[in-house]
Amino acid sequence: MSKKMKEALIRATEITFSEMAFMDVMPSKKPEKDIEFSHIPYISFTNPYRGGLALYLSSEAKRRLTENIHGRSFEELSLKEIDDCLLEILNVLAGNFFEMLDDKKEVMSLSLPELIFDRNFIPHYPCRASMVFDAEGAFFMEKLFME
Amino acid sequence: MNIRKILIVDDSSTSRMIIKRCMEIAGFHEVEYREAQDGLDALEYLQDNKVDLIVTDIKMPKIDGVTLIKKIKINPDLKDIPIVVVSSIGEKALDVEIRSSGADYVIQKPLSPGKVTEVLGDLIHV
Repeated sequence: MSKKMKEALIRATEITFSEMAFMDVMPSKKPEKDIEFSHIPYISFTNPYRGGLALYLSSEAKRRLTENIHGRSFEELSLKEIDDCLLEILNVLAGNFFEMLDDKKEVMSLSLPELIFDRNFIPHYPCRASMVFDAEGAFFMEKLFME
Repeated sequence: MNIRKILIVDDSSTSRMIIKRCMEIAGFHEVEYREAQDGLDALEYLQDNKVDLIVTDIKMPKIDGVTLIKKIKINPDLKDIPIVVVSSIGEKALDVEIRSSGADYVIQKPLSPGKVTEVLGDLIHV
C-alpha cells in the first residue's frame, strides 16, 4: 500500500467517523483474523480507478456506529435502519477517501453502496490496502481493492 | 425569507435523518419537514404541496438529483424554491453540472450544523 493511499484512508476514516458518528478512530495492530464481522458494506468505483472499498465491521462497531448516528439504542432500530446507516457511512467514507487521494480531482464514479453477506466475498480486483481500526474499543477493518 | 416547510430528498433514511437534525440544530426551528426517497417521490409530492426549501442528494435511483433540479427549475410553480444540494465528495466532479442545473447552494457530506449555518445562514429565520 502506498504511503499516500494509507494516509488518505486513515484521514478519511477519521473524518467520517468523527463527523457522522462522533467517534474517535485510530489505526490498530489487532490482527485481521481476530475481527469477527457479520456483513460487509461494499462500494465499487469505475473511474478514474476501478475497484471497490469494503468495510468489515465487528458486531460492537456496528452497534456503536448505528447507535451514535441514530441516537437510539441498537435494539430499537429496524434492520433496514441499521443497514441503511452502514451503507451511508461507507458512501461518505469512500467520497472522502477519493477526495484525499486524487490530486487531479478527476471525475469520480462511485456505485450505490451495497451489503455483502457472503463471508468469502472477494471482489475481482487485488487487495491494495487493508487496515484495522480501533473505534474506542470497537474494531473494524477496511479493504481497498483496485486494478 | 421565511422558511416554514422543507422537503428533504435522499434515498438514504439515515442521510435524511442527519440532514434534518443538522438543520434543526443550525437554526431551522419551527419548521415542518417532509421527506422523499428519490426524485420521483419528490416531484409527486410537489405536485400538490408547497414547500419553501428543497434539500436534495444527487445520487438516487429513479430520478437523480440533477434531473430533479432541472425539472423543478423549468416548472413556473416551483422554479423560485431555493434548492440545496447535499452531496458526497465523490460527486465533486458533478459540481459544474450541479451548479448549471440551477442548484442554489451546495453542501458536502458529512453534514454538520456548522456547515449548514455557513452555507444557509441567510435563510435561517431568527
